[in-house]
Amino acid sequence: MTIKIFVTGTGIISAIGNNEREVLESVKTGKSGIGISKLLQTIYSKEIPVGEVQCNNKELSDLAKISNKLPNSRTSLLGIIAAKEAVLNAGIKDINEYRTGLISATTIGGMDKSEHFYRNFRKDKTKGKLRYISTHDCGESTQKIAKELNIHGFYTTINTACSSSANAVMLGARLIRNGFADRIIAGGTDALCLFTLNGFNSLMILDHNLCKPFDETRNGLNIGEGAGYIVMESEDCIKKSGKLPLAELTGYGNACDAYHQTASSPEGEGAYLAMSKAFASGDIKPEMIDYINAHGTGTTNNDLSEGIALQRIFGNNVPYFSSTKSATGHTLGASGGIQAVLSIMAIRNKIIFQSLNFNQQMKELTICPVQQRIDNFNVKHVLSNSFGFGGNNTSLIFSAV
Amino acid sequence: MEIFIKGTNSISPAGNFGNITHVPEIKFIDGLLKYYSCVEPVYKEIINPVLLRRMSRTMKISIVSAMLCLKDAGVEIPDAIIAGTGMGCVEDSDKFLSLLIENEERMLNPTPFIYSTHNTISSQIAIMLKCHGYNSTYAGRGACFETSILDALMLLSDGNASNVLVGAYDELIANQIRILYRMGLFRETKESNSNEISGNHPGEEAAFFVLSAKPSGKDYAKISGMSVFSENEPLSESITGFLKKHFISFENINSVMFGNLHNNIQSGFYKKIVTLFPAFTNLLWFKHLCGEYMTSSAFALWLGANCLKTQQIPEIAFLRKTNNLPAKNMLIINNLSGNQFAIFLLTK
Repeated sequence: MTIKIFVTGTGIISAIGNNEREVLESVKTGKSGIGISKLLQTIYSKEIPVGEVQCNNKELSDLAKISNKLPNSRTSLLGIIAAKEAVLNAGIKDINEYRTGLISATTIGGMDKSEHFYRNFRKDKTKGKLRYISTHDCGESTQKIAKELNIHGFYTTINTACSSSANAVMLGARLIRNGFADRIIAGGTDALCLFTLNGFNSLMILDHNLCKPFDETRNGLNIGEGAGYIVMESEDCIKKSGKLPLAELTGYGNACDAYHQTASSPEGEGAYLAMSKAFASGDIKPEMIDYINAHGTGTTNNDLSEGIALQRIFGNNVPYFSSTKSATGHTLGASGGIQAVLSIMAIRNKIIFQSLNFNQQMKELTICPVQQRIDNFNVKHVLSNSFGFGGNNTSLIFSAV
Repeated sequence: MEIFIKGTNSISPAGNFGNITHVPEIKFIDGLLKYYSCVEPVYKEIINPVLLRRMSRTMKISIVSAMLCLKDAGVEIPDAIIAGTGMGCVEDSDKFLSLLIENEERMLNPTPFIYSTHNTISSQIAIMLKCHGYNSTYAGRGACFETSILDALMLLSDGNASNVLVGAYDELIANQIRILYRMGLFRETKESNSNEISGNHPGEEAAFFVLSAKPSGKDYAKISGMSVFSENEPLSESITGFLKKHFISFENINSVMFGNLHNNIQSGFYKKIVTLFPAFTNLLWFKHLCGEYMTSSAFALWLGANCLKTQQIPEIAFLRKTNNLPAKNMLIINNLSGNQFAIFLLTK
């Protein structure tokens, strides 16, 4: 029999709140975190809206309860805050009581600090503060989070672009099932930086207004920042501690679209395969899904490809779906972790979240996202989609316990 | 669980396994910063020149290594593709970052951004092969290559895959070498007369493996065990525990390969470990053949697998040669950046 994977803690920080309580309040009221950037210093601050966490690095250090003296990348700070919240909510006192590991995802690591470094280094190779560039590699934030959580066990970093933290959750579950760990903290973190803002801008896939996922007139994504982590425990762990889990991870699937580096295939093959594999991995069938937290970036290409894949999987019975990226922005490597936390929030609070800014039905599809929040809905099973550059697609299924 | 290395390839500073007779040529940046550079094949003989034109150097090295590895294993399309990389596609990241600052965020060519993401290699291989299977990339300091192997092992043991393509890549560019030296991770050294050989230079490589749960009859070796430990854990106990778990004694290890940076092993991390092994255990090392980088374990695994297959250990790899027994069980112990160390048990 397959070992069950329980979620016992969740932690989140994003443009719509610095913790779970604030985020829940925001999604209930339909608040959007997208707007003019106040902290990111870019020439596009008035032109391109972003989903920015409303705290400077000093304030984030305070929230993370760490010293502001060492140069922590914004990615590390966001990650520490959300991971600590997840561990706290899981009621973990001694983190090394069980074999506990950390799987953290990020796509840009300390790029915000590298940008500072390169300003001076570019002109003079002897210039630029080394303490900035030393945060560059993706593993740096993971190591810092592991240290802050006092994890003695295994830790590793995933970067499969925008599906990174969904893959972190999937790897965590597999490590527990294969007996390599009893407990895994998994998720991801990414901060806003000029590199990604300008990267997506050069690809012309940033909406200069609020993004409109699954809308006929959608015109690109809003880039965001944040972090989301969940604590997963084995059945044995739960039995020993007597802890009441928040949810169960009942399915996961990873597939590659194998179509194009930055575009999704017109028939949504990778998305279709990732969802199919998630259903095949456990006992949950498509007709049991109550809500889909879609990848739904708001780009012309993704929403069409994902929409077609949803119709292929669910036929004429596509469940309620929405894109919470319309509120948080697309948080890249953190998005799978943030969506995992939101999916569990939907189950726990019996809510189906609304998709913001939807007005016009897409011509190619017969489906449209939820536009008004639905309360008191018995959400038993949620599908969460995360798709990335290079066609790295991953789907997760969370269920009520 | 045991996994079989069905095929392998490496493009590294050391060149082909058969040519490993000497320390690779040391190159210089800015006249004094030493580094090792890959011996690159003639790509157009291996891959479509039209595709080549659009590839960065690390894409060429990694994708060609992956293709040669699949050919070596006799596998056309693997069931899964997994890669580990410390620093990712550095050339494209450096290019986009520099341009973005230079042009003050204006008129940016998206191409380097597109290929700067760490998962470029595993996804490009998938796109070329039209491989829709499981696909993942581990990145950054610590056990990125080791996690790739662990991930493959789980896919194989779950029965979700028959052949998994697993690899590692890390490329060097001039700016990065300058930064690494400025950080004090490597020392600028004048030519010395001492006998000390050093592998303490930045290095680079791509190495790929086709792993399978079933023997093919022409496998290189078996990976009989792999573990990653934190340097906070007691070293000797970790290694002893690892061997016990795999039912093998120190006496049964013919050769052990260390990730030390100098041929003088009587100092630092490995000093304590050496004493665990009996005097007749061959001691090997590899970083003088490839340099130091975050995924150097992949080179060690490639070298070890070739030694076991050919039953020949290149003379240059010995730190201490004390037995001529057929190479049967080999241990690889490598300290990783980020305060972790990895152990591999390779068996014939």
